Amino acid sequence: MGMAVEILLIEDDAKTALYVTEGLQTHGHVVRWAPTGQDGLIQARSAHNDVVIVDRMLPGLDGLTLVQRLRGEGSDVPILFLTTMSGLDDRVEGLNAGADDYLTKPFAISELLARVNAVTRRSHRLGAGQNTRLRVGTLEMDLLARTVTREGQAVDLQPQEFRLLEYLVLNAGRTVTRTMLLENVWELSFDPQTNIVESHMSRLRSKVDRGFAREMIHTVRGAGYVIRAD
Amino acid sequence: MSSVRIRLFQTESFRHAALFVALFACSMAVLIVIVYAIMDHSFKANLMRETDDDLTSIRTAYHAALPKHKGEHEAKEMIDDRMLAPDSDDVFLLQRDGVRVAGNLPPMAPRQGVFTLRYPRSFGGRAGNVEHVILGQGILLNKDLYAFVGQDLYAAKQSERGILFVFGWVMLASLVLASLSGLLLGRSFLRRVDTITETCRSIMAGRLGDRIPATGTRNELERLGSAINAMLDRIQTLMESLRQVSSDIAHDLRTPLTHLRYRLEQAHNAATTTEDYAGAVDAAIADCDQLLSIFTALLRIAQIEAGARRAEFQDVSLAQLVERARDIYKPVMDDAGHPFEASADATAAVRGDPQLLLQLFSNLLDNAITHTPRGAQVSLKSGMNGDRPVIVVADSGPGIPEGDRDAVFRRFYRREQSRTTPGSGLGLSLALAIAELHGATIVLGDNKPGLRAMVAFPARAA
Repeated sequence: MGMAVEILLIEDDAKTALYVTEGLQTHGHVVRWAPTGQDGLIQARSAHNDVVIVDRMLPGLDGLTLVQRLRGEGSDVPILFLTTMSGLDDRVEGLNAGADDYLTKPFAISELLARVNAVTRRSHRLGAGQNTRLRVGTLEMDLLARTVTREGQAVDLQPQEFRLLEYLVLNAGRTVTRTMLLENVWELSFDPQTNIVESHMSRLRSKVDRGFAREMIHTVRGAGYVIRAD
Repeated sequence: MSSVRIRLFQTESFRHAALFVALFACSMAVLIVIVYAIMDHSFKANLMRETDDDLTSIRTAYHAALPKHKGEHEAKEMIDDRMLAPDSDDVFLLQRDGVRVAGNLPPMAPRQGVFTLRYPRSFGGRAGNVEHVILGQGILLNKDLYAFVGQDLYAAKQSERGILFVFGWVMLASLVLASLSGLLLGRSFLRRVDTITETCRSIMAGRLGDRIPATGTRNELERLGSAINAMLDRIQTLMESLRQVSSDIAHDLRTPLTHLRYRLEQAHNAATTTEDYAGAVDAAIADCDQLLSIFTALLRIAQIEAGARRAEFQDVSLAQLVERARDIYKPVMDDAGHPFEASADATAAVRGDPQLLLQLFSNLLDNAITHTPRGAQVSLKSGMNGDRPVIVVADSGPGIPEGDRDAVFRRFYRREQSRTTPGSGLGLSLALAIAELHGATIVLGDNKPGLRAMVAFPARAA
């Protein structure tokens, strides 16, 4: 998916590290591995990283403290927690420490990949300043007026559909997973038994894509959804 | 017993009682001194006024008669008159050149002004068992004639002594009573503390069901005891839930794990093509995901039952939650072919965790979708039932027979009819755990036809 991302992986479990490294390398990313918290902190300070992936339970220096230190030193590198700590408050704790995203183990490589892409993208966007108008191909969103047009024609969306589309467009060209949508669009910390994402997505698609020559919203099999320029 | 006595004196209530007794004694003493001083002052002032009056009349009588025979006779008569009053404490003396002319005091060296005289126990026909103190004042009517008017304080001193005596006894009795009640209080305190200590030891020794017996009073120890009991109940519930989780994990994850192993073994033995292997791997991954979702649900139930979330409860409008749930579920219901309506009474509000409450709604709605055929109506309502905020999720599906309604909340319980539908069998257990965290109950009823689940929150104090 385009440019290579340089990733620092701070993870004490060698098996997980191997799984992550292989999985990300397959998609063209460069992964460096630090097996302890201390080691990770040194590498995070000394070398350039596009993303830092941190386990929470590390020997010596734990992940939460590590992230707090990095942020305390003024580092703004995108950080993603990758951890078995899946308690109700753990996620909030991790994000409050300064991480950009929080993913619990076990996880699919496609999920990790999507989140790595999303956090690197987020940092680019922040660098470019907040934009109240978004555009992908012929689709335009006005975040203030809450209006959407495609090829100049108004697309009438419900508030939830608007938020869903906004999240897709912010990550245009990159796959977003079902869990990312549940967490970011509906702010749900649990996984419902029913097809919430699928139902909303099919409604959004029928409004955005129906009647146009080319589809913009695509299903990525086994991974999630992506919006691409038509 | 002696150790009990020593401990008794060391108890807080005994110390309080002793302090109280000391304070009481001090204030009593101060009171007595004040009363005594006031009494003495007013008595003496009164006495001075009287003797002043008497001396003035004597002097007036003496001077009025002066031209005739120097007035000595008039003064003598006046004193004799005054002495006729029976049982009087008044004393008089009129003397000329050291010889008594009238009165009931022996002659004395003439002294002018106010002064005190002391006489032995009995003198001049007066009796008693202690000395007589006389307070009065004297004047020289002329250079030989001396007059003294005063009062014998003997009787006054006697009654004063009587009053002090009564005061003394009252004080002594109060001190004794206060000390005794202090001891009694200390003893009952000590007895309660001993009971609590014994109960704690007994619990530590393994009799986990033991509780501190209630005495039916409302004192601080009783409250401490009931707080400790409540804490013990809570701990026991937590231990129970932990035990439950571990046994659930041990027993119920066994089945899906067995299935997974069976599937892999079958692939190992029978698969010949790449497609066979790919299919088996996909199925195994799906099995793993299912196992993990059970695991997550179990952990979440345990975490909710631990109750730590209660610290972060906030005011939650049920109407807003219903609206959120409706926005989320409307498309799902449409796709599943369920007419869905949601309505909310804006006044219903509870204290709680909005995320968890939404999960509670979501579990009940998921349940309605999963266990009813296409076309069955589903409704979500919030409102008030009396003074209790409620939410009701109802459907027009097949419902649950009355006898099964308690069992569905049990972990991993799946009714025979629903063995084939997806789900971990933990949805309602999780819903119940969330409800109980909020002090709410879930009642399953007949929607005629269908199932009606009512979550009733506790009434809010105004």
